[in-house]
Amino acid sequence: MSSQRAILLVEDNPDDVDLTRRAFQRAGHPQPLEVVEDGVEALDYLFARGSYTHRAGEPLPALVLLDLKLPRLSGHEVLRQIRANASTRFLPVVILTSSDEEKDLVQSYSHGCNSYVRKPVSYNEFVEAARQLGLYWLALNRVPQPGVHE
Amino acid sequence: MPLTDPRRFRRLLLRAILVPVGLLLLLAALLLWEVRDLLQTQEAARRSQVTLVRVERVRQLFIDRETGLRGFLLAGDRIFLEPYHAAEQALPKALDELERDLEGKPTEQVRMVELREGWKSWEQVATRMLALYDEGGDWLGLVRSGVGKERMDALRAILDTLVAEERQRAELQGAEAEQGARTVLILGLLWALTVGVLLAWLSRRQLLTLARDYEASLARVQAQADALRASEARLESRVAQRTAELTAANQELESFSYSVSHDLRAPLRAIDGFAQALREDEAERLSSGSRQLLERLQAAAMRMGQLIDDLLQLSRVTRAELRREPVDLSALASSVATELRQREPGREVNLAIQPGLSTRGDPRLLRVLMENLLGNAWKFTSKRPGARIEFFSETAGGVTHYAVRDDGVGFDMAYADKLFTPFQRMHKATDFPGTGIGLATVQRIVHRHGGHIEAQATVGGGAIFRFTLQESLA
Repeated sequence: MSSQRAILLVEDNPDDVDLTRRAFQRAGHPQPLEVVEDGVEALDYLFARGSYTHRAGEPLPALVLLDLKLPRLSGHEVLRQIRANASTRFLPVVILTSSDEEKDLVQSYSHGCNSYVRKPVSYNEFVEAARQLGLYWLALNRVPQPGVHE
Repeated sequence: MPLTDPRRFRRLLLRAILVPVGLLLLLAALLLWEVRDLLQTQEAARRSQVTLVRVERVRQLFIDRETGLRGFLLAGDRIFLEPYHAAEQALPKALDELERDLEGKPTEQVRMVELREGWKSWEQVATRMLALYDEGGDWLGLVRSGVGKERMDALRAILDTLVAEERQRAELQGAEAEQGARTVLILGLLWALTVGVLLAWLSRRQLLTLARDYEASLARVQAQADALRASEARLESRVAQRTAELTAANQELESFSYSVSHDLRAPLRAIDGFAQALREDEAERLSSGSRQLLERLQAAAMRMGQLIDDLLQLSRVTRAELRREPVDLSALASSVATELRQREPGREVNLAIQPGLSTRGDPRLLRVLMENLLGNAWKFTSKRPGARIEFFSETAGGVTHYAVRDDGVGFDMAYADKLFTPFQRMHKATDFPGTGIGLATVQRIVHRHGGHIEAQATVGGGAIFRFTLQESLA
């Protein structure tokens, strides 16, 4: 069931990880939150490579929360590779970042993100954002099954 | 030295004229000298001829004397004495003339003396003969003695010598004249040749000099053109370098802003988030004082977040590429006013916006401008019930001024110069919230649109902000 599938959080700041985990819990989403700390790990997780080979055959996460500023491989590049690969190109990806730069916004949509959310400084606002994100992308939104081609 | 230098040109001209003229004058003088010499020689030759004629005349007169006398003695008729007497009359004059001719010629003078003496001695003989004849003496014996003939022969010999000498002199003078004529001819030829050669050489020299000067000028012009091109290239490369530097600086500023946006906000989020977590998780165990402290911690984080956002906006206003499109300022102001009312629905504000105000500019930046100006007016009228805020335009000196006026708390004009400086505030934070960046942002937007902004206010009497926009900018 899609409700059992994980949310993949790509975020290198442990504070943000904790706060996001807490926000999603407070928002009442039961999905497990899987965390990877950089762009390379994110791709390894999604494509079951490197230290994530054990994930071969496992279902893809229900939602990817992608920060843009990441060590090694940037969020933009991760998004580009997700969209370039047949198995992940329909995967819902929400950019969750501090950047309010027009450039980042344009580039993210050009690479095919599904949504762009700027992390608010206020924790309460952040919890509200997490709640609405979960509600929409995990409950309302429908996505084609992985591997299904049009 | 340039060709156009008049001194050089004059010098060239002088050299071209003076040198050949001097040389030719020298040659002409030499030629004239030779010609004079030639004329003198010719004159001498003519005089020699005259002398010879005179000598022959004298000789003839002597012969006349002799033949006259001889004829008379033979015939005994006095009529034969006519030539004898005529010659006697003529001789002194002929001799004087001859002597004058021979002046300055010592040898000939000597001959003249001999001639006169010889004549005198012949005359003695002749006189004696005539006397003897008249006395009926032995005149024939005297004739036969040959004294007369002998003396006449001596006279002839002197005359012959004179003639020979004069002839020789004339011959010498002729040769000299011929030599002189040849010299004159040669000199004349030389003169003509020299003139030709000199003219040719000078013309060639002048032409070469002119050509050299022309080439030098050409080279100078070429060098100047090259220098100009080089400096142009230098300038271009410097512009390119400056542009590159500016681009690099802009990129640095951009990456700095990006970094600020990302990295400064994350810790604030953590501060607020964990303070909130603490308040939620430990609610029962925290004293009300501790809870207040946590609240203040969160408020400080919020304020810091607002500062970062405002700073980023200020920096973005500077960096953003300026667009130029028609903007309906009245609609923009109305939209901002609506947001303000929605944010604080409880307030009663009379917000009057003049309809139909439009301009050309960057819609995003102009929105930020209106948000800040109307937001300020909204903020500083918060303590006045039934406040009035106006947005309108007025024309002064042919220039459109836009204005936002409020009847809020105003400010002291003594600090007006600080108004548009970032982080400068006119009011206490407890009275009115704010970061002090809004008006700095407003001023930058106005400046980027080629306009200017000024403010007037009185404490407690409201404030008015007037700004222009250079709408004709493409």
